[in-house]
Amino acid sequence: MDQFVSVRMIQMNGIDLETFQFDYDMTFAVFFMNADKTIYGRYGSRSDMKEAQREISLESLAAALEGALEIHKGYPGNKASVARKQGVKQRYKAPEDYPLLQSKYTSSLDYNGQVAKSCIHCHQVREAQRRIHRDRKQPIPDQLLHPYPMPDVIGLTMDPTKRASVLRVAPGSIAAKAGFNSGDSIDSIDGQKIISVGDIQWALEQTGNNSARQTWTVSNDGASRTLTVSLLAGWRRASPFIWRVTSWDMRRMGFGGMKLDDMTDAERRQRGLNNTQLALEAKHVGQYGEHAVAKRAGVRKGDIIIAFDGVTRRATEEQALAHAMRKRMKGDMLPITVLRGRQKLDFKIRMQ
Amino acid sequence: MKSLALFSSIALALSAATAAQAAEKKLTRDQMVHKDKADLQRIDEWIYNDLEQARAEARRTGKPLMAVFRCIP
Repeated sequence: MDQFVSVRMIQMNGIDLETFQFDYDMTFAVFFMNADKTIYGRYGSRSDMKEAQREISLESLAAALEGALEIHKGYPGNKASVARKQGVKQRYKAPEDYPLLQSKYTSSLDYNGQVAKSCIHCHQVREAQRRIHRDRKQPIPDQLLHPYPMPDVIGLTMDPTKRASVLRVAPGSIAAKAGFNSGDSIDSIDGQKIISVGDIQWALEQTGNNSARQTWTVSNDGASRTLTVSLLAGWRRASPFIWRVTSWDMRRMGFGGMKLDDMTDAERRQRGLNNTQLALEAKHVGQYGEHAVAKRAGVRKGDIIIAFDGVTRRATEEQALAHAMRKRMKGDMLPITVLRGRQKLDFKIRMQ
Repeated sequence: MKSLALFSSIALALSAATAAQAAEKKLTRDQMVHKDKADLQRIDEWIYNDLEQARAEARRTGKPLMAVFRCIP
């Protein structure tokens, strides 16, 4: 630790978004950098709402610290090896510049007043980004719906206790076809030195959602290999987003504040529903303000959605939200049919 | 020993807010924010919520920066 200057940031107010770009749904993110703001690497990954620390560990953080020190020792001569780790140009330079946030927040915390209320949380940046598209009645792009894909999306399960080491390769996956093996350490992606799983996510994040090819170098048992990862158009859609805290804002925008669960096969049997039809149970119906649109439309907790917007085949809540975010714009009315007891009822949910 | 100190320092800083919340559940969120600041400012190894101060120290010492974004739960 004494080889670093360590700073803890507790809010996003005043943060330079052209420098600090990361997965804003996380509650813990680390940047290793030079004093001149050159980013050496990132640390921090998350793929679950409840098990927030499943993807991280002190061991892998220590390994990332070592990796950052290796880069620092060779800097600036090795600047090219971190060139693509730098943030990209942003229209809004700081979170409080976003239309959603500018009237409510300033660039600093109000320690003399209601300090907690004056704080911009990381996830609010992601919500503000999505809201730009929503307010313009545009589909939310996949890069904002499925941000910072985990390596799982290409078939790599990473070891959370190591720097960037493959635990398992999913059979038939993009990674399997590229030739990855269990035990491979990821050394670089497109010439960029990798010091963490967070760095892998950054490299994937920069690839957009179109088809692309990436060159990964890996080492295993002292031997190095170069592999080509071929991403097909739409690859990013395999990355789950429902665990994200920002899904709540999408529940508000797309389903009027409901939280929905795809009924299990056993639950369906009890209700006389088959396994291939849509059966999303409203486990929670928002009660206040913009989160109560479904309630005001007439929906109740326990209602089972068996059709929405012409969709009647089985779908998860995530698939339903993705449909609403891509195909239904703010102001549209989304038709739904619910089963309440033995009754079928039709409602319309206003898109926000 | 050094790695133990490293782990302890990181764990301490990262869990400061959680420990505070667990130990003193009656604190309001505003009180938790103030307490978090006071607790971390007592730890010499960490700069609290000031990137420019951290960058200045990094320039002065020639060390790299570790910036941890960790909100107060």
